[in-house]
Amino acid sequence: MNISFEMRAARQIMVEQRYLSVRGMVYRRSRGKPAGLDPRSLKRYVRINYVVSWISFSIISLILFYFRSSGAIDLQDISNITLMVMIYAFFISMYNALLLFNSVVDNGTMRPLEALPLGSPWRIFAICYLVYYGSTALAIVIPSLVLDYIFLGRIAFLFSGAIWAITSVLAGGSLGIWIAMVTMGRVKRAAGRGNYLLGIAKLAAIVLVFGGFELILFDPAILAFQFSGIGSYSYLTFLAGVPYILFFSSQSFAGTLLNISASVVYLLVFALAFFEVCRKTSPLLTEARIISYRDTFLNGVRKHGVTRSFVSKDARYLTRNTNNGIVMIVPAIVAIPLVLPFAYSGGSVFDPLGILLTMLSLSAICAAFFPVMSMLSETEGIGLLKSLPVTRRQMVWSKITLDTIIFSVFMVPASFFGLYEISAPFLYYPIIPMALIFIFLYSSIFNFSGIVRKLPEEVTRITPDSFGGNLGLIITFVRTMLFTIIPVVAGIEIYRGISSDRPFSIMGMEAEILVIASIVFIIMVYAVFKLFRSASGNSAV
Amino acid sequence: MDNRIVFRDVTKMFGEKRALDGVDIAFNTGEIHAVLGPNGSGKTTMLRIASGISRQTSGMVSVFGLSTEMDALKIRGICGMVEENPALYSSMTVGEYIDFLVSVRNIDRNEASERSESLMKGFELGKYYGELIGSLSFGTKQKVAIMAALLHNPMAIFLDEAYKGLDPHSFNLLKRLMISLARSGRLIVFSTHIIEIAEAISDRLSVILNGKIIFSDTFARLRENAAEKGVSTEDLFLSMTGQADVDRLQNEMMRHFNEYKF
Repeated sequence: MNISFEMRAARQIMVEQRYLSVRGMVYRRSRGKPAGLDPRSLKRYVRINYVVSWISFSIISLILFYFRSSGAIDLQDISNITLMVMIYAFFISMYNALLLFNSVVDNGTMRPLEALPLGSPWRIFAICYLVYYGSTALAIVIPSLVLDYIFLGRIAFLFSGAIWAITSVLAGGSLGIWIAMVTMGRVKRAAGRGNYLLGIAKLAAIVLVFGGFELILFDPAILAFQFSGIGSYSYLTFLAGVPYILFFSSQSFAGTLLNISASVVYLLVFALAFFEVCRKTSPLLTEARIISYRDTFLNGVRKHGVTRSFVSKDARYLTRNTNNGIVMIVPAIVAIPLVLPFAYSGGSVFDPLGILLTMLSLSAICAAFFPVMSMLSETEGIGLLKSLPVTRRQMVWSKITLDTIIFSVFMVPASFFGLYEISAPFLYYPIIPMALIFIFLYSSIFNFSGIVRKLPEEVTRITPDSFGGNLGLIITFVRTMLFTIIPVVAGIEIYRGISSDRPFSIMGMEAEILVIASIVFIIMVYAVFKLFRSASGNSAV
Repeated sequence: MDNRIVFRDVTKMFGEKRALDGVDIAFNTGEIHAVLGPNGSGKTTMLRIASGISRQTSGMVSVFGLSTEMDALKIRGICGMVEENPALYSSMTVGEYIDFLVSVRNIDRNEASERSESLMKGFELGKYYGELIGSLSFGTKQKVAIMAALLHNPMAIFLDEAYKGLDPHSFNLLKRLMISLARSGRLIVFSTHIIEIAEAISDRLSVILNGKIIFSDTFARLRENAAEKGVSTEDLFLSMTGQADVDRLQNEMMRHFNEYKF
């Protein structure tokens, strides 16, 4: 098949994804003239989104480099940074592959190709991933590699590092597509309680896996340390062996040649794996998604409140297809390592303000991504909601309810664990989780009010591009962080104004945190009240 | 309460495209009103506005005395709409979808049980009760959408090419059901571009072209017009919508196809 046709088809799939999400967006005005859906603007969007992804991933790379290289930098630091960006690229690639697969299958964007005499539509899917997603994930590694090279001055390192960057993208993509295929929900039972619990168990397992990812990013030496004693056997450990292969093995000519050869072998293996996994997607890309059956018969209808009905609907969406759950939680997990170093002031030292800032960051990160991701559960159902007597407030409130339940299930135990680790006084145990949930609610309401306004009046389907794709996610993330930090900074400043720097404690709890938290609470309650009244009011969906 | 749906000088813009252009029309209760027109003429837009899903850009629409601009939620509560490509939740089973609608529309549980059971029996949906909507065929999804539009006992029913994909049994049942529902005082509007279907069940018809109503009267009046011109109702409809030169177009197209000889 003609590669130029495949490239065009791949670009058309990206354009199609964008089109589906903005089909009703026809009321934008530029220079006083109403602007309809311009085919050129759809293509321009795909290009802009690509460039923005490159820039934002490069910034992520530089942020990660900055935090890990403060102070005197040595070979161990550089090795940790390199390992960390490789792992980051691996996870981002896995997430991107999952998102692309889900989106293509859910929206049926490859179905028009079915009627054409194409032998292998999977090649178009593979090109889509490599060109529009995989190549952007390289931006996480490349700036960091260049900085490493400036410190090290080894040209062979740059070459091997680039090979490993591509390998990470291919490996992450292969794993993401494989997970998507395995968990896409083609089960024979769909709705029983057992399956519901199985869905939650799968989500919990995924959170554990990503928890490991967080740990490695927090301290890449954990992974490298495990393999430090095995020397040349490191060649057999994918990614974990990168520090040894690139930095600690022999740098003689023969050693360099061996390292490059080993890197090329890994690249070839994962390139083969990637294309093999993509080949397996062929029958899934163009067929209807879930074929399930449940042995139950009509036994009268069940009636619940509006919120409960919406919550059940969205919970089914998340638990019946593990991919949907992954898509929801991964952006938050990937963003945590970027923000935690700002907030977490250090190790096992008990620092009340540090705790407050850390909790704020975690809640705000989750609340930055959950609203967009939970709106995705509507897909084409948004068209149905527009024919029902449902207000925006009812819809938003039900989504916030489910998001808060999911957030609490994972974050409350994590906060207990964190408090125990730093030997926090007992009074913090009930207060911190409550503060976590409250800040999450505040940020969620803030974000929902923004994204609900973005929905075009004639929208018939919600896709990741409905909220601006990667660009939209990044803007939402930055905006949320800003608007969460503003009340905190205001709280700290007000506290400084009233306390005259005379700290005192209440039941073992620092007055500082209590006063600041109270001020933050008041500011946020006011903001929530105003937002909820104005943005997501009683108007129809 | 007003017993009509009235459009007065209604315009709907999609960017620079004018989907409805100064539409004046009234739909009456107790009648089946067919809206005919070629593809892209504005039929769907008109039905979506009448059912409170979309808003007009200018003009006034009154649905039983309610304003589509102020009372969209109330209008959605008393109307049922079946769209050409129905929007449904793929990850719900048919049974769960019924429960969802009953909850969100706040329908009496017993009433909903009885009505849904009879609709499921009529449209042969019982065996799909536990199946995910995403796995159903297009025609079965269409039946689910019809059931969803009727579940809350609506005062007005809008069918936008709703018969597409239905098997002969379901199509026949839908036609009969519409006639009975109209006779029981409901207002029924359906869109189509096939005049035979409209002629078979509707009392009145309106022809829409490029967003403008170019004919609105009873079928008897259309037949009279056709008889006066010595053409069939279908030919009259095609000439109204500028689609009468089918023979010429067919001959022109066939010039570009080879003849196969085996």
